[in-house]
Order: sequence, then structure tokens, then C-alpha cells
Amino acid sequence: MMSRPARLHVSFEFTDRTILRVREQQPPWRVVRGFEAPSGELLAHVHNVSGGIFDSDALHWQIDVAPGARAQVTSTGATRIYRSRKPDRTASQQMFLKIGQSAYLEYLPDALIPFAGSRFDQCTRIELADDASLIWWDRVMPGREASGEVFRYESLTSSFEISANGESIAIERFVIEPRLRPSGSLARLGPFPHFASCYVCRAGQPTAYWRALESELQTLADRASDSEILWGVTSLRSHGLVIRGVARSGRRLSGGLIDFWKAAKWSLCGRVATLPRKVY
Amino acid sequence: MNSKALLELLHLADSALPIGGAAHSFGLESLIDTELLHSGNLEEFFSGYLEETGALEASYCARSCELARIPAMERWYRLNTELGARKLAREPRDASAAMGRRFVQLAANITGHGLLLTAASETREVHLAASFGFVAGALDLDAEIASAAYLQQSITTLIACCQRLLPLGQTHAHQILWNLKPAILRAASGSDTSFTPLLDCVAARHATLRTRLFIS
Repeated sequence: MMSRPARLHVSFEFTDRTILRVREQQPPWRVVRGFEAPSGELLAHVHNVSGGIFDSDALHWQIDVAPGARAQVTSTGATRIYRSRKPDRTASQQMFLKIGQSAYLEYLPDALIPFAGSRFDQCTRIELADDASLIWWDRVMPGREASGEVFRYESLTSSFEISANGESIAIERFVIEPRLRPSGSLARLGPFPHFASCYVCRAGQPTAYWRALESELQTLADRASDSEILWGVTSLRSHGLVIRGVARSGRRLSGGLIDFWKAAKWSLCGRVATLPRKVY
Repeated sequence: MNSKALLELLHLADSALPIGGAAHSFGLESLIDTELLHSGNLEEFFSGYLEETGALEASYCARSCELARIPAMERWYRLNTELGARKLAREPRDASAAMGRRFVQLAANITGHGLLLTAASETREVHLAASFGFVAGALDLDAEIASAAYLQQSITTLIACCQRLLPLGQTHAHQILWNLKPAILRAASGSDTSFTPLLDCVAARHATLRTRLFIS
């Protein structure tokens, strides 16, 4: 069973400065206003006023960043995926992000927490025009650890694609079904129940730049890795790189993402990274 | 499958084919460096590997086989571009592309097949799984059998790499390979999804390992 999609469409426009326009927002979405971040982006908090995602939710997002605009988007808390009440109920979320020429977007949400018995299907497509930049992170927890819920969800399905100048540069499609295929296999997560990614991209930036940034960030990754957490940095086939982390604890993964984001942002645009204003 | 087709497939799926397979570990060297992977859990690891990476590569192998039959070269190149975008870690992606290119060139030279000669004359990105399927399709071999043969040679190469990195004897290595046959057949039916964050992570770390036997 699926309810009518709840739509959120926001755009960041640019004349002499970045302006936020909320073109459409339906419950549970709520975007109140844009805040000017000290680093020059316009910050928008995306609220899910229902507190989480229910089994019959079908959520659609669209974010447009106009040529030259600078945006920072974050959530107001972890995305909780609630238990699915019937086997045929799967919550879904589709995101479409379009970043215009020479525009900049940071997407820095809190973690995704699939509750025991939940089913969630997410699909994300990001398009970068020439010279457009993106820093995108995501972090997935194994469940409500404090309640002893670790990999007790039914399924988490994800389809994620970034294209730059019309060319696919990163595609991830995965299905996690802990009851059918053990997440603890070394082919999947091994002893690290938490995982995270951070994509850093700019369309048109040459391969040599990404190899140099990969090398710089891998030094940081080596320093931050130990038996509790592993980080790896690798160039994509073009126009970007990805930082991948797996950890026994979510807290260290979260701290590491911030360090990589700061270093990558400085290299990419020479601006100091400022955490979105909210309660941490 | 007739005897000629069987012999051709055995030839192409020989892990000793000179395409550079012995130089790459596809992230296994780094995983062994973490001390998480050892000779005691190899079979379990490869079983999971086949369910994820193996099944994904098998699907590209089988689709390439069908595209060679049409033939549809441009669609095949697009499929390779897509597979390149799905291989996030640079070293394994580069290894797959280098081996894919060599495989097509070798197959074109030894068979003299017109379609393969055309593919070998191009310099566009082609990956090993897709190249194997494309060559199999050009030779009119069955797609699912070709995918199983591709996985068999792929796992054989990876186990041989583990023999150089771990205390793993010949008999034990072949026992693992033998035991994995059902998993190979299941993976050969293909999948469009793959979930390997730990392997992606360690493969990305390979470039800064203190000591390396392999290029990837």
C-alpha cells in the first residue's frame, strides 16, 4: 500500500546573492527559511514534522541550485525509518537534485536509522552542470543500538547516481536484507555495523586534481583509521572522489565525516567549513 | 553445449590467460592487511563476495553477451561506462579496465572475429566482466554459462592471489574453489545490486599500504 507522494521542491536562486524559494511543500515536509552561513552558503533545514518515515510514506524531494548559487542543506535530526506493519508496505523516498553551472551544494544530513522490522527504498539522482560542485555525505546506522536493535530491519534498498556534464560518474545500487544475507560478512561490512560515504565532486575538474586530493585526504584517512574504524579515499572515474568509512561506532564516523568535509571544502573552494546551525 | 564451444570457453576462462590477472588482488591484499581475512574464513568471504560483486559482474557479463549477438557496439560501450561508474574504488576499476582491454585484444587476435577486431581497435573504457561476455556472445556461447565460467576464472585468480598472501596450501585452495561451485552458479544468474562497503574502503586504502605485492 502506498499513499499519495508527499512533495518537497525547493530552489536556491541567484541574482547578487543566493535566495531560497520553497516552491512546494506537503506534510510531513517543512522548510521554514534560509540562513546565511558564515562560509557564504544559504543554509536550509529540512524538517520532517512527523519525526520519521512511516511504512506507507512515499516522499519526493527536488532541490534545484541555480547557476552561481551556494547552498547548504541539512536535516534537523536522524531519519528514523519506522517498523513496517505489513509485508507489502515499504516506505520510499525519491530525491532529485540539480546543480547548475558554477553552483555549489553541500548536503549534510544526520544519520539514517532503520528500526526493527522496517522496509525502506530510497532513490537519489544528482545532476551537476559544468563547474558545479557538490559535497554530499550520508551515514547509515544498523538500527537503534541503545535498544539492542542491530540489523533487525527487513530491508534497506538504495539506488544512488551522480552525473556530471551528462556523464555517469558514480552509481551505487544496493539491497541490505540482514535476515537473508548477513551484514557481518567480510564481503559486506564485516565487524563494522556503521557505514558512511562522502562524495566530493566538481564537474570539469581534471583527473590530476582528484588524484592529488585523493592522496591528501588518504593521509587524513590513514591517521583516522584503526581497529575500530576504517576510512578509504578514492577517485571516481572522473569529476570527483568518494570517501568511504566503516566503523564499530557511529560517533567516530560522524566526527570523521566532519574532518573530511572541512579538508575537502577548503581544497575545493578555499572556504572554511562551518557546521550547520542546529543542536548536535 | 557442443565440444567446440566447450573448448573455446575453457580456453577463455583459463585464469592463466595473459591479461594481467596475477598482478591484481582487487582489494584483497588490503583486507588481509587488516587481519580480518585469513585462510580460515576465505570460503565464507568468497561466498558473500559472489553474492554481491560476483552477481553484479555476472549481470554485466550476460548483458554484454546479448549485445554481442545483436550486435550493438555503442550500447555495449555505454554498458561499460555504467560498470565503470559502479566500480567506485580506483585501483580495482583501473585493473578491470586494463584487463578488459587486454582480454578483447587477445580474443580478437586469436579468433580473428570481425566484431572483436573492431572492438579491439577502439580505445574506449571496457571492463573485464563485460569483455568476457562480449567475446562469449560473439562466439555464440550461452550467456549464463559464460557468466559462470567468468566467475569461475575470477574466483580462481583471487584464490591464487590469496595463496601468495596467506598460509594457504594447494589442496585447501582447491577445496575452497570446489566448495564454491553452487555459489558460483547462483551468482551467475546475476543481480543489479551490490553492497560491499568494507571492500570498497580497503581497496581505496591499498595505494598507501606499506608493502604491496599487487597493483590493486
